[in-house]
Amino acid sequence: MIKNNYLYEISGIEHSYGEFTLRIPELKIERGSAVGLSGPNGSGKSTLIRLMSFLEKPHTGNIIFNGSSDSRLRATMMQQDPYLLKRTVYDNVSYGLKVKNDYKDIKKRSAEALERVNLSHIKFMHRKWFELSGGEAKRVALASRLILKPEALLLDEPVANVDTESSRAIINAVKWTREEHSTTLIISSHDLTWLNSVTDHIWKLYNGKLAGSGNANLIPGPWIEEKNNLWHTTLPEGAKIYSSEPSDCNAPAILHPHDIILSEKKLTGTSAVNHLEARVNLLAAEGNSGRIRVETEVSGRIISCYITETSAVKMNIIPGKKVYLIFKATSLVWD
Amino acid sequence: MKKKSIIHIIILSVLMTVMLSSSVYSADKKGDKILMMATTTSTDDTGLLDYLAPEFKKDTGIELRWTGVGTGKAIQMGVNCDVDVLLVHDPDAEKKLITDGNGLNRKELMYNDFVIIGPKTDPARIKKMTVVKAMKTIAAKKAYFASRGDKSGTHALELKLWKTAGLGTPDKETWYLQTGQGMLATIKVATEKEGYTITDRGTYIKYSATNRGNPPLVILVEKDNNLFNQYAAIEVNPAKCSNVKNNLAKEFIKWMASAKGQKLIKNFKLEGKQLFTPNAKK
Amino acid sequence: MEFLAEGFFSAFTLLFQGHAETYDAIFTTLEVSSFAILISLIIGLPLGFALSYYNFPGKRHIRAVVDTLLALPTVIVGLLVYAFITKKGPLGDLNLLFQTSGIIVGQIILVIPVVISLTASGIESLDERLKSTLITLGASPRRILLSTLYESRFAVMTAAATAYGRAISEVGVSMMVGGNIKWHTRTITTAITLETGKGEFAMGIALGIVLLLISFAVNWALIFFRKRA
Repeated sequence: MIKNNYLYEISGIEHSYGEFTLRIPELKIERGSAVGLSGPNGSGKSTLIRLMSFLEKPHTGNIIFNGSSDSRLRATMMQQDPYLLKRTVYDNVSYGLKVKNDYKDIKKRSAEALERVNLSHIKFMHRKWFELSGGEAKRVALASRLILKPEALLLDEPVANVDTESSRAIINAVKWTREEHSTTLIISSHDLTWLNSVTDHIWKLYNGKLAGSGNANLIPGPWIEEKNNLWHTTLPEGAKIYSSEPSDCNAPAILHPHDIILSEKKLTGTSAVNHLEARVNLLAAEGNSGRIRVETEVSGRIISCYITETSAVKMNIIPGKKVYLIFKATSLVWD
Repeated sequence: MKKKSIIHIIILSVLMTVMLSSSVYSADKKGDKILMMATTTSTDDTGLLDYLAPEFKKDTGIELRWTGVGTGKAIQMGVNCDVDVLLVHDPDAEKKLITDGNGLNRKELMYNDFVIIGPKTDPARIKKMTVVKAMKTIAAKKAYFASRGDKSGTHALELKLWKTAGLGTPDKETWYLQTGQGMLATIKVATEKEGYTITDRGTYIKYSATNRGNPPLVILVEKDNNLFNQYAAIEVNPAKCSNVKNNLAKEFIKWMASAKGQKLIKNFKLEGKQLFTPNAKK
Repeated sequence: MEFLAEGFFSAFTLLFQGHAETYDAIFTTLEVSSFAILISLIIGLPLGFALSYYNFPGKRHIRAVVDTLLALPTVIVGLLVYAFITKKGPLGDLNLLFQTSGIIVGQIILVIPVVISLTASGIESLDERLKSTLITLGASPRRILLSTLYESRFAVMTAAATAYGRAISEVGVSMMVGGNIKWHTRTITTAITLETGKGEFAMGIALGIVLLLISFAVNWALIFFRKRA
């Protein structure tokens, strides 16, 4: 059998819960990559992760893992609010090894896994499940998955509602397992900045569909026709965004950060129809590219764009500064 | 490892259970000299059998085991072959048992007597009347009367007395209280309602003793021929019940009717008073 | 009223002076109820587990029947068992009537619905994330079953204690099937019935206190185990 370079090959998935349907026509994830899933609550992130952990079978469609449809043991998942077995920390961490009858150095390996998530094995090994804080419990849950050396590690909101110390420990442990064991990572989060720092690539989910990738901004509808081929949607605090004719009046539009010009002053005499007042929220370096991602708040919605380091310095872009975002109506696109 | 030990525990406990139940089961098999008797609550409650059983064992080597139930149920247990011998006091039901072929060799052993008791104030004024007249008076004056209503020997006697007095059996009358319970419970009902009831003397003695000799209900009618209560032993018919130990039943009845058995019955006292009068015919 | 105080007093006299009849009734009660519970757990735990863990047609109806049986009066069970094991009944040859083994059979029937129902509720109340977690950690279906049972151990212990309480306190089966035979099938509850019938109310109260003490010991042991776990 020829193994291609893909760990996951997803095709034609449809999976419904009541009103909600997750539809993924195609998605491929390369072996050893780190993929982020972002999107608002209820967009289908957790459902996709459950399907990719083989906890549920999709109602239609296929998930091929490593060239077959059996992922047993090689893909493991940590829930947003992980469940600890009602036993000691040691029994939790070693459980996955015990069910495989893998008793070799089991104590030592459990201790290492705990240290990996920055928990002292001397202090924590024999604690009971109810003697842990929320962050510690999450770290124990992660340790009990790391010990399995999975090919794919799926994490659903790993740092949501976690204290800073635990958050840092989780990030470090996840980065370490990727470097050490080339583990493929699939991580969902609605914290884009954080997700950017640990993944190579981000898929956006909106209402059960993949809606763009990377740092694309999603501008939800509904879109209302204003006059001859000009449409608009209203942001939460009243500002309007203009677009050309949408493919579907209710579908979110994608606005690529590259298509946005950031200006200190309100410009006149441009062909772009959107001139929006914004306030800088935060700045994040995009690796070593010399590019900086600027996250701004526009009338109650977050919109990101890129500038170079040089212009950031020149324009003195700092969080809290008032700026203008300028883009064309045709920059808003639909899939 | 853990899983194996759980399985071991389960196997072990199943084995233990089987062993225990079989030991309980076989305990009766090896000691074959056990006589099972169904009797009325009165012989059990008064302690008569607790007093006789060790003597019986000493003389014959037979262990007497009994269950104290109402006469009706005791007789049904004989019909169902659950016991070897009966010691009961309901002559009519006993006769029916024998004519149906379920019982054999009825032997009269002893009697005790019944009394009609009521409040000291005696609202119906039945004191020292004959039984027949007293029953008529209670019914005429609609004074409260508590009945066992449980098909016990005492209940059977009471029903016979209504008949002897020429009355129909009361049932839904407001003054007629059917408790469906034991003798003491029935006396308690009569006490609370300030009514009358009929009881064996033994139970009355106990009732009197628990009230420190000053009970709210006192004896109003006694020593009437109609108030004598004959106890008899009956063998369960081995022709109908192949499992019964008929030889042991015969031996028990013989011993109870013997000079020694009769003397023991006579000497049995409760609160210093004799309860049963032996009257076995030679 | 004074028999209540008298009962308290004689309860301790009976216990500390080693009153043979009382101790015999206590041991009979413990023997009978312990075996009944043991067998009920062996049969009832897997059934209760299956009833909540697996999905099959008619599951809800079976659950409703089991829950209804919780309310089965002890005398009815006594009567039913008597009907089967009387010498003229279908199981008369087993010689169970007037034996502790007969009471054990009756108590098993009485107590199994308690074990099944409480085990099933215990497992139903387990966190739904448990199963996902176990699958995620690579447990086989059989392993998932055993681990689920272990995770529900507190519910199972409660089921066992409740069932034990029902067994030691029942009187219908012991009376109907056991016959309240002194030194053999007299249990604490049948002794209470007898003493009450004899008008020995204080003695009845005393035996009731003994029964309560046993229940208390069982529940106390349960608390102890929970603390350790």
